[in-house]
Amino acid sequence: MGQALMNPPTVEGWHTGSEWIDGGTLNERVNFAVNQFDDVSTPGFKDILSRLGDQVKSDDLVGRCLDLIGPIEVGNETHAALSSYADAVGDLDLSTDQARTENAVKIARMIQLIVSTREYQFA
Amino acid sequence: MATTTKKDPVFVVVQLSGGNDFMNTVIPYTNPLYYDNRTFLNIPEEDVLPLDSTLGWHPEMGPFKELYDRGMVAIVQGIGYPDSNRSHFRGMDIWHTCTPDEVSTVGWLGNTIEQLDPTGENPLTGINFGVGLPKAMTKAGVPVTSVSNLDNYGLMSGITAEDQKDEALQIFKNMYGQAVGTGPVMDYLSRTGNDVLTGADIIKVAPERYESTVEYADSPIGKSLRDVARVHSADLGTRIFYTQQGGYDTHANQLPTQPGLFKDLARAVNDFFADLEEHDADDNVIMLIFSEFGRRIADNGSGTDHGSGGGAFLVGKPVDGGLYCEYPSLERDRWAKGEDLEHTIDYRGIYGTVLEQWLGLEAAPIVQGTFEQINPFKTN
Repeated sequence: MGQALMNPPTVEGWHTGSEWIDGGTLNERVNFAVNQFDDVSTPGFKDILSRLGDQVKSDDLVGRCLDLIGPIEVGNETHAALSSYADAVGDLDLSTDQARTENAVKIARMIQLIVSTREYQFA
Repeated sequence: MATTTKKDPVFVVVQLSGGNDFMNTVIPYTNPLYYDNRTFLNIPEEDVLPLDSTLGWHPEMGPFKELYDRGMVAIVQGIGYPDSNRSHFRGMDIWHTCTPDEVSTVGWLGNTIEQLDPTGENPLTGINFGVGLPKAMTKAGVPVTSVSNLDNYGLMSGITAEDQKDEALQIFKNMYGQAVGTGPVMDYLSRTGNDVLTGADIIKVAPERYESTVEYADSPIGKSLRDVARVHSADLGTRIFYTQQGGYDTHANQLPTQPGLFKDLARAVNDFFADLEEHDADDNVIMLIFSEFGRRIADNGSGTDHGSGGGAFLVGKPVDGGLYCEYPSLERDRWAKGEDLEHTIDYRGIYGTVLEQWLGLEAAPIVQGTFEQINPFKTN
């Protein structure tokens, strides 16, 4: 993402201001964060899954994932966009291994959307 | 009057970040004062690549010399501005905004892009390759695309299933598109996210269309200039390209570091123009290579410290190669600040030269005044 540790562009370090993010770095940051949740078999993701319990209602999916990832507070517009995805996937059964396997990708996608938000990137 | 080309003129900027030592780039190798002041950090006369009887290139600038010998390089000697600020940040800001006396957030190329594309219709009118959008290209409301990796440019690239990626991108668009008015940071992020979405859609064709026999050297500046060539040859309407090569703040490491930087730069620029020539896409492209300041005249026993006047280069097929302006005097009574090369041409005059004679724009509103220009372009 452009800031190599201990290797600033000059002896004065890194420039302040809006240079911390532009189209290129936003692209890199979002993709990096999204890719961390691409593999639902990782121990970290399984831990997230276990914390969601046996059932996640569609209405609760956004709020519970925001809590697990942060907690992160998001604006109304962001929440509405995330909720549209939650509505589309519906209630999720996580009570059995088979159900967890079937629905893990849907949870992962919600988290990928959350880490791509402006609020997460600026948090 | 603007130089005429059949295609829209294109301007490429290469920023040498850190303050390049011009005295060891274009070397006054027959001037005894050079060796008197560079007792440690001098290039021996026998190693210099002569360009005339008084000046010569650093030995690692061979591929650049080839371009010069072909008449494609205008050397702008003594570029700078009055009362140079030796800070990298402030110095670069001054170059980026054309406002030495006040702090501005509007870049001269941001203004230029706005003139070239007043409605902001094409987010690819101005593209930065590299990490960190330079202030030169910023202006509120002017879309600019910044690409750190052309082959991977586009959001959610890790989601392989196209329908799922499309769904995720639509939600991203909804999240970033409706938030204007929620504060300057969130507004800025929203605009940036939307510019990425729009730009990525258009720019993705560039790597697909590109084929070349030119093999660029494996260096960051080589990669960046290859990306410039790929997008330019895809004909996506880009008029301003920007990229940079870092590492010129060498201080005590100048002796081992500068040759490698020049080797990468010279090879990359040579490869770039060879690539454009292969694609018959070189007649409407010029390149400006600059650094925020030169180094001091005398070395400090192990390297050189921040200075004032330096040098810049205009490169390209339309350029009438040769030496422009006056090489700053090495006579002690003409040193700026008692230590530096005195500038002999204001950088805003070179910007004005490019704006008026190449891009066909009025320079004064962009460079904040009227400054002496040079005539570095071939006449048709």
